[in-house]
Amino acid sequence: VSAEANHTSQIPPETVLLVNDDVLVRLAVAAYLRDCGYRVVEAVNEEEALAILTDPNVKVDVVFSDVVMSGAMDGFSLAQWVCENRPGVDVILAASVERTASAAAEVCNDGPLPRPYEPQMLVDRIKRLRAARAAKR
Amino acid sequence: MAVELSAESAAAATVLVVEDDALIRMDAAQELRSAGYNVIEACDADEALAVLEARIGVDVLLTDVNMPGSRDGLALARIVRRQLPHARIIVMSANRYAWEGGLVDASVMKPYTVPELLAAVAALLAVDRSGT
Repeated sequence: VSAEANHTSQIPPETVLLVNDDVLVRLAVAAYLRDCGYRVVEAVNEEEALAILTDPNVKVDVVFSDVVMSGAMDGFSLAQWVCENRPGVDVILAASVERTASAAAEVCNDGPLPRPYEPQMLVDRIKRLRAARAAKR
Repeated sequence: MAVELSAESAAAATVLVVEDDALIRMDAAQELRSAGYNVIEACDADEALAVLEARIGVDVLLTDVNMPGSRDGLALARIVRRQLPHARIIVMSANRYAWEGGLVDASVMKPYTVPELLAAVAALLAVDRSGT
């Protein structure tokens, strides 16, 4: 996948917490995001994501998670936690639209990212959400 | 001990970090990336084996010993040693183990410092094992 390299205007780079229990998907998406200039922190499930989000030494700007995960929590639970506890963090959930359209609209800032998705779609979504947040400041 | 690693060898080396503690894995991965390595993160041996099955090249296996999942770090090391004979294997552990001969190339004791970790990786990569 060819990555765009025009994300250099934002210093320091924004941090994306990538939550996915498929290691091959996770490493491919993480590599793309890093090529686009983002700092990426990886989590295998929602429990790991919460450990990272509650670490005072880690600053996260965007959480990108699959809805269906192998742990006790799903992506909706994680998104709900982020909305309630980290209001400055944007959340993007990825899942089949049929399963998540209505539910995701309640916990995502911008609705679900339909699977399968191209990595560029994710980057576009991140940019849109961060731009909208910056405009509100 | 300070071990210098050339930019070329750092850029070419891929380190597979296998650790079930997300924060420890994150810190190790970030330090290794900052040092110029390509880093793949796996939470257990099963994820690491999925990486191997995908035929993704790995130069260094950096693995915890005690992990949940179907195998511990030593069982993973045995598989890596068999499938990737040129790969270097480093284990991270809070305990001292007696490895079987030839299984592990180096070990770092938890809690380790960043210089200790980077030195262990660089020292092994500095040894040419292409002919072995």
